[in-house]
Amino acid sequence: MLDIIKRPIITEKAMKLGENGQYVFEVYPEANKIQIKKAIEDLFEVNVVSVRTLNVKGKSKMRMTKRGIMKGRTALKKKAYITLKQGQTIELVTGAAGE
Amino acid sequence: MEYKIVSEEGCLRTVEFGVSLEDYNKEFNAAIKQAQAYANLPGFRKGKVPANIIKQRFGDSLELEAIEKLANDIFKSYTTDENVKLAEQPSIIDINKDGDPITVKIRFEMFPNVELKNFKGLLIDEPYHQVNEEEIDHSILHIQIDNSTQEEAEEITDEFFAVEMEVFQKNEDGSVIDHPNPPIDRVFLHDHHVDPEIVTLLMNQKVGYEFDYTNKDQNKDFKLKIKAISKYILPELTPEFIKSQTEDRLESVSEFRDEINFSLQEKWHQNAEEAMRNQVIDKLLEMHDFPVPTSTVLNVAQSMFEDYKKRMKQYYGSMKLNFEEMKDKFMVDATQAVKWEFIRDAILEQEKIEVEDYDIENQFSQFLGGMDAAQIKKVVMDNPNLKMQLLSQKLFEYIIDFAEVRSVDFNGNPLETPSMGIEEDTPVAEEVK
Repeated sequence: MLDIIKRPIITEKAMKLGENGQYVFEVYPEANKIQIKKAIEDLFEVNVVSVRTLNVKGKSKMRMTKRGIMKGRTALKKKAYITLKQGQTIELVTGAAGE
Repeated sequence: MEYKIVSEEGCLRTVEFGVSLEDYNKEFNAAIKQAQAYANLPGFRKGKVPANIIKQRFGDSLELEAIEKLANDIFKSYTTDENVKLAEQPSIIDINKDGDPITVKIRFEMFPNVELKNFKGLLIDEPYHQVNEEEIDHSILHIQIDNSTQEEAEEITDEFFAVEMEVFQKNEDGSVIDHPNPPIDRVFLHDHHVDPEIVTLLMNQKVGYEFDYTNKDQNKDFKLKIKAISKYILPELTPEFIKSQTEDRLESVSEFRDEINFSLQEKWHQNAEEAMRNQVIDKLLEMHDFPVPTSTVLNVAQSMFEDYKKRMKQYYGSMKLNFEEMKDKFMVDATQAVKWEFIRDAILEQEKIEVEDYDIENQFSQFLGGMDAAQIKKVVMDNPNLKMQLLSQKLFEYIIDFAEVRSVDFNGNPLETPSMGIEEDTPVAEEVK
């Protein structure tokens, strides 16, 4: 399970979605929706109605070094929007923030 | 307000206060709301962080903050109601959040409540000394020495000579340690610090004279050789000299002697006053037994140590002095000083002794000559040290007024009358009386 879910995403937007039974998690890019659903259900003992995922491209970064300008990208991230069965909640107050 | 004294030891007290759960919740929620307004977390706009996130992230410190605020308010009203004067900042030593009310234990040191004993009618010795002709002669001789000139001389004929000597130290077997540039010691033979044996050895000797000398204090043998002699030429007590010493006020020897007599008598008088003040302090300290706050004593001891360090540095250059090593010595003196201050303040309060305009005028007008009365008063009242100096003086006068005063000499032997030995018709005697 911990190989699938990285952390819950706690932001203003995520908190708002939480009011409607939707939660946002950062997951490993290799994880698929089925694995994510199973992991969430096992981890929080809830019923997942739907899983929507999206890949966030890494940002391109540039820095000046002695050897010239180095260009690169930050790592790719995958987010999963989970919708729970009505009336179920997850206490999402831990984990780092940032979308 | 509910409170319970948990422990009381000297001036150290631990009190347990109850904080109602309702008040606590109100305060805690207010603290969260306040934190929400300025919390800046990534993912949230400023002021938009939900309360549960704030509670989760900063809950512990906000909880403590809320309890501390409530405890502070309760403690403040406790000190006002119970008339507790704090000697140091109080500290929360325990919080029990289980149950309603929440209990908070606060430890603090407070000023003692001094119960004054009857300080009116103390038996105080007033030392008295009548200045004699010998003391006046001695004082005049010192003035002459201070104003003397020196001239080179061949032979020492009396004590009014300064001698420069080469000093050679000797080995244990008596042989002299040779030195290409031996240290030079200069002595004034009239100086009472000079070993009388050296004075005797030097009398009637000339430049080049060598002699052996044993310093008994150091238990060391020396060979000394006279290198130079200079004679002190004392000024005659002429009207010009007397005028120069008295800023043209006096010119006859008898007037000069009277003035010296007066100033010496004044010094003895000041010594007597100081001795009486010390007796007052000692007796009052002996009469009153109460605990003093350790924190205050420690502060006073530290400032005493700093003063001592400064003085030592002035005389002996840099010295390695450690407070911890000398703490015990300073703590004894500091305890007495702090205790005395509490007694002094209690008497001042009880007897309603205050600084009056005439006290300021009497004491300071001569020092602050250029100022008018209102300015002088402002200077004194704005300066706590000056004000306390005046109050202390008034306090001593007050206690001594009520005391049973016995005239004694400076060795403590009783005198029959305070004015014994004073000639009624001399102006000096009038001043003393």
